[in-house]
Amino acid sequence: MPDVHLTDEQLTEFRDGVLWNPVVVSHLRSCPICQTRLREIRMLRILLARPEQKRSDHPAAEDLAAYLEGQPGGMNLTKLEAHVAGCPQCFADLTAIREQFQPVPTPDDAPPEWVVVRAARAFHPPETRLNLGILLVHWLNRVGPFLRLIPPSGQRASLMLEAPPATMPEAPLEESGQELAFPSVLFKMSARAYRIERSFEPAESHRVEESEEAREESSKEVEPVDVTIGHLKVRITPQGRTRDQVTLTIVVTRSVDNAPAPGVQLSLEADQRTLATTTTGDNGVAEFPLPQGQATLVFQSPVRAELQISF
Amino acid sequence: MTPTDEDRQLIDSILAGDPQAWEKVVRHFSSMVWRILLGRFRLSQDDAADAFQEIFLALQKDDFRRVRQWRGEAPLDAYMVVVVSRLAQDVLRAARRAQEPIQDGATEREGDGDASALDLPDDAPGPLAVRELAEQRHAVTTCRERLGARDQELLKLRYDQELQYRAIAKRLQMTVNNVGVALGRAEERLRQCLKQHFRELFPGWGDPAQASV
Repeated sequence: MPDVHLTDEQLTEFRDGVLWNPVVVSHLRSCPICQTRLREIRMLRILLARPEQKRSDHPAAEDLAAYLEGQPGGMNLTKLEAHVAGCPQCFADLTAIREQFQPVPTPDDAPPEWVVVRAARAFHPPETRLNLGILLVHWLNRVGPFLRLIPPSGQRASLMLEAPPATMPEAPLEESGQELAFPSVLFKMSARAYRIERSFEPAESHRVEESEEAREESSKEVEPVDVTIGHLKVRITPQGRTRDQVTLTIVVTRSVDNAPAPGVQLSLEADQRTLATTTTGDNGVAEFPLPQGQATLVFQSPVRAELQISF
Repeated sequence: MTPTDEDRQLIDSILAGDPQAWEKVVRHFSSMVWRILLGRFRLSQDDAADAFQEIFLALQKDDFRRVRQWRGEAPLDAYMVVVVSRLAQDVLRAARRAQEPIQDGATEREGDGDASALDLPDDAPGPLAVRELAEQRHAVTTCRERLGARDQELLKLRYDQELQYRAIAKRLQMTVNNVGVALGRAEERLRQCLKQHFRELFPGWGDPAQASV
């Protein structure tokens, strides 16, 4: 802690935005005493401010915190001060912040251990949006089904592909002259915090059948265990390819900038065995042969990334 | 006084579903929550234990909305103080309503916090908060009147008329720098008065030796 402190005048001028230089800012970052004094004179400024005449909405919690903790960028200070000057609730919030940083905590300030443990155990992981898996199923006219899987960064995600070999003849499909049922595809996530969102954009010549069971499964809350969250029966016309010519093409891109994500390890597993392992190249692409029977594609990326799979 | 990478990583871990990160958060903020419940809301230990649980459950509601709303512009600790204070108020209000008979015409509401309880006509802050602000403002007014004429004039121009430093300098024929110095000293004299005559209203003010940040 520094031995020399800012003067009252310097603190007042800093608070009012008149004095802003690196030395003062640097000192404030490292000096708890001056931080405490700054909080006090900010509270004093609230007490001196004229309360607003017409009550406005409460400021966001973070704006209040930033006001007292020295990062009030981008907010209308006069408006905020006028609100707090007439709002006991927000004033109490600021007081709580000041008091939180003021006294030395004593053992009496701590709750009993059982209270803490109970709250810690009552954890229900998030279910949606940014850190949750999003699965989109698109149909591409010529390529076949196109899956998009977005697991959270660092989370292990898996995609189970159930491919009954009997449905795919060895002869080129053009010669067979018929549309074939593509194998059922099961999606299985090992990360427990996923909620799946699906959108279907089938071309007219294709059809997507989704079982009632799958629909119910995807709409209900996901339990914190591995769970099958979708079951799609899709039909494709693989455009003259034989089964051994069909490959899984996987493109991994970073969510942050949509750039290819090289060096991401992927593996195909079945019956607790690893069938194949590969790593995405500089273009973020990896390929696997279409697996026989049921297999699981395992994917783990150090950054949040999107996995696109085409057949 | 600035958000840290550790804060951000902690929040990211929670949102990724890491139970250990959650426990870390609970432990880190346990004393703060406890102090708010016992100190600000004057709860008994038993009531505080229940409210403690409710607050941490409320933090998870709406897909961790309050956790996600942290933009990283204010330190996480300070942000959580405000969030917890608001949640505590909601939790206690809901508990209070649960003990009261339902009034005709009462309706569900979605408020700042978790408004699972029925609304009441008055959702104003508690009497403690109202009294605290009123008493402190009264103390400031009293001390302002005890200041010298020059200090009073400066505070009047700055706070009642909301003039900027430059306008004050022009009005009082001072340099802008001198306005800052004079205003700082006037406010310091005001704080001394508050500490001397209204110490019980401003606990901890002017006591930097106890600072613990």
